[in-house]
Amino acid sequence: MKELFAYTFNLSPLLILVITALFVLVLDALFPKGDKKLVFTLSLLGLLISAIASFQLWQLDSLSLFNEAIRVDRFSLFFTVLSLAISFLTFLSAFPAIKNHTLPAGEFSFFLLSCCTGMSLMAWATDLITLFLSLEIMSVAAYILTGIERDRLTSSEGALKYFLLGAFSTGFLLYGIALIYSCIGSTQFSVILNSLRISTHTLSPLFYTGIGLFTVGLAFKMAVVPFHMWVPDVYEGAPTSITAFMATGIKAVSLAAFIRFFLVTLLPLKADWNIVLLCFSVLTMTVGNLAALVQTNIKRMLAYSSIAHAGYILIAVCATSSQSFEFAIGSILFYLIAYGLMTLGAFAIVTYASPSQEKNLISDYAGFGFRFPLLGLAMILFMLSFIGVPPTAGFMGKFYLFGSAIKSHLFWLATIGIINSVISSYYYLRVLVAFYMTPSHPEPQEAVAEVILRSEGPKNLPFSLAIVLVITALGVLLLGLFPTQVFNIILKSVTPLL
Amino acid sequence: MSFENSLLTLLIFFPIIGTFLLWILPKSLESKIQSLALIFSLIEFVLSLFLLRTFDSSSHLLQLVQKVSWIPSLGISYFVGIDGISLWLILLTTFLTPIVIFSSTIQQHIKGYMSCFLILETAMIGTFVSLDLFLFYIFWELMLVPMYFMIGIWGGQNRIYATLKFFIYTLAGGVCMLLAILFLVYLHYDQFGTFSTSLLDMYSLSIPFDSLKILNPQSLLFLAFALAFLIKIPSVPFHTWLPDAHVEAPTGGSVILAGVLLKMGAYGFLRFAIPLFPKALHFFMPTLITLALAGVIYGAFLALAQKDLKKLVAYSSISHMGLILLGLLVLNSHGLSGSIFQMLSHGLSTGALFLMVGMIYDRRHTKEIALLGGLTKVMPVFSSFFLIITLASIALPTTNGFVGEFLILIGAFEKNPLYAVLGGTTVVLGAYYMLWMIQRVLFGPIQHEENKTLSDLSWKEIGALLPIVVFIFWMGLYPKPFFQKMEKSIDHLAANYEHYDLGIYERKP
Repeated sequence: MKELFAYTFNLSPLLILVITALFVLVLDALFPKGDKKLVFTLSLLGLLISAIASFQLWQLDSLSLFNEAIRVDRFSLFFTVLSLAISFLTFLSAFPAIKNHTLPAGEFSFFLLSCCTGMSLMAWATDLITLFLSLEIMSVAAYILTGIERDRLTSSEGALKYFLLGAFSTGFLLYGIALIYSCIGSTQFSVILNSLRISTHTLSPLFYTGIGLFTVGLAFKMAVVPFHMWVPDVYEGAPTSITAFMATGIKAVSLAAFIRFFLVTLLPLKADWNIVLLCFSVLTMTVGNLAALVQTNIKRMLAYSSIAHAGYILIAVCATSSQSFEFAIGSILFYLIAYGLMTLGAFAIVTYASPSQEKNLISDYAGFGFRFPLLGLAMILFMLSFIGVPPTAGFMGKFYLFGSAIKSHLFWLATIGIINSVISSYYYLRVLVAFYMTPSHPEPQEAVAEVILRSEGPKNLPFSLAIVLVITALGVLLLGLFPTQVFNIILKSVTPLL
Repeated sequence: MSFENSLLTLLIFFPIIGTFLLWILPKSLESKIQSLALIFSLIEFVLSLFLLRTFDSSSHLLQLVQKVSWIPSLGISYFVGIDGISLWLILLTTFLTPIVIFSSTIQQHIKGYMSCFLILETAMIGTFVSLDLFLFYIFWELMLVPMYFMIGIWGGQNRIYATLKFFIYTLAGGVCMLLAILFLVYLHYDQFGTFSTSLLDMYSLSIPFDSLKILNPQSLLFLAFALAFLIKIPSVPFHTWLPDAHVEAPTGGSVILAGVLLKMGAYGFLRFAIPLFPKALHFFMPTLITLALAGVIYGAFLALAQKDLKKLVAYSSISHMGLILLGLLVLNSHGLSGSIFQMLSHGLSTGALFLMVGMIYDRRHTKEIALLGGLTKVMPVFSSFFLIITLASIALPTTNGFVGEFLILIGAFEKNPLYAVLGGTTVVLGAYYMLWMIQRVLFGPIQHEENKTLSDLSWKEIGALLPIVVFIFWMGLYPKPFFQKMEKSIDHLAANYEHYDLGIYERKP
């Protein structure tokens, strides 16, 4: 009995999420005509309580549960809180669409909460099987969320593409796990690490093949070049709030799993396959940025830019070694927060400007900045943060990332990263060019016009979106000015990995 | 915390506070925005005058220092202070900003335009007073943002191309510097076991140098810093953003760009590139001097060939900045003090030239030299001012330009007479293109109907130009107070740049 209580307590963040998810689904099914606000509020409440539960666990020592299938430590709690926060902001940005019935409230809340559960679990997993399960929980929910706007063709198209390619990549992942198991005889991370510590010479080529296949599976979720082909279509098709969710949340936790498995468990092997990571990093940055240069649709542009940012993060992954472990991983975690804030903020503005989703051309935003001064200022902040201009979170993030590269003497990699961020400035600045420097259409048409016809100005900005923008904009600014506290917390959550 | 210690902080952040006030202004006062911005910038100027009073010119040490720990895990602190090198550049900034705000004729989105100037002022002053590499970089990059919007929103026909080129060019230089800064931080950690980004700590680093290999740390670091500064100056062959930016920028933007922003590059050499990497500097000296001299001559020839008045002034800037760079590189007190003095006088005279080109443009809506001519007859006051300022730009004795150029040439002669001969062509060529321009714009018969009805300068425009003209003559006739404040710092740099160190000044009780 006592043991059961202890389990419940340690698992409480996840349990609360699952219970809330089921509850809102049933509630919505029982009262289909009921108030959608209730479903929405309950979901938010669930996220909040789950976050509080995570804070409770933060103070405790780390421990492994279920025969080392999962591990509750500060690292997992960090990613739990990150997933919860991202889901929270996603709910808020999706609220206007829920209110006018573009998105079905019950299903949306259920799948978003399930996805969040899967995401949190992914950072907790210390066993390949758990990892696989959590990845599937997350992915299946994400496939459905992409296609949740059934009436819109691009949404369904994106969902189908995502599902087919995703299922394919999961196959790779599973096959990789099978091969690893066949060589080690266990799927537990700790056992794998121990057998690597004893000897790395007796490993059979099958083991390496397994790792290779596993990498493909995870790289797909992180949208690393050359496994990125699905990203633009899926990001364009998905509801904008979900796009932001995928770009930040799914990418972040995939990295968490990547860190746990590749950088912690397989650290003894890192020198051997660092060259693969280096290629990934350079390719991801460069391809992402070059492709983003020619995009005319703002969602596709942000999709490619999210690929590029994954490439920057991989710089620190390459720089991770046993000497510079804490700082390198810390810089990854910091960048994930920073990137999450600016991406959610930028997408919230896109959500507001084009509720119907049909047109999202950058040129549609002509004159937007002067029409909506505060939204314009927020967009300036987000774009500068994407480029990495101080004093924004994006700059501090890059400062830490490139710092970790320099610390590990990867000068040329840092240089490629720097060149890439200069290239990227062009397409981010083009958004600001549209916002401020192009005269608006003489006769309002297209996406922005819709907003303008509907409403007279920012006073009609939905309250929930306003909250998202305030949180993200303030976050970007404060993280850029005072990163110390956050970075200290991050360092605390990295230590249990060692 | 005394007033003196926080004076620099006040100077940095006052314009930002002003910007906030502009943004929360009630609608009823919208029409007064320009006056309010002017008041803020004038208060800022008055505040900066306190610097002159408190500055002790008998010391080369850093004064008015304020240091607050900021990101302790990386040894980053908010660390500001001034010495004789930065003192006058700050005053140049606070002097030019009210003038451009006062003389602005932009009506569209005026709140944004004024905010840009005020934020820019914060960034510029911040750059000049930062003694922490990280802080310096922050202000350095922050400068780009308001300038980007200024050119992009209020600029001419081709403004988007110009502003993107300006931003990306300068950003590219900046991020190279960022990498170098990161490297220095870790080098400091390797050598002393603690993180620090303080410039004073960096001076005491021994940065490995090997003259047989190009790829040695000191050379690469020097190149990274030098690239950022050479782009900003701009030196040939990194100058191509400048004409575009100048031609498209609104008048006020051009004035600040030419008046202050270009000086950042030269200041960067004085504060960072020269004292931090003396061995690499010697190694690359021939290349750099070639670039400087090439800038002097090539810029002048380009100016000679321009048909557009603003482009002509822009290319003349490249030529003048080449000479300033030469003065820095000869590394003796004559060259250095001449360079700093020339930075001030170039800031004033070129700033004024851009203002006056703007005044012509407001009336005639063209900057084409061929469409002007005979302006003395219709605009006598304008012509007098234009003539005075052009002559200052040519460096006629009794104007400020003469003092600076003369000192630079003396300094160059001491180093190598050939430098002085080649650098001296600036005087000849400068006179050629400027006087020829004057001849075509001011004198001769009026050939175009439109020019006959141009109105002369208004009192407001005279008010904007008069302070500059006063300083042109003051600095030309009695430059001693200017040199007096900076000579200790310059002598210290010229004598010790190979083992440079700077202490913090403690006021005698």
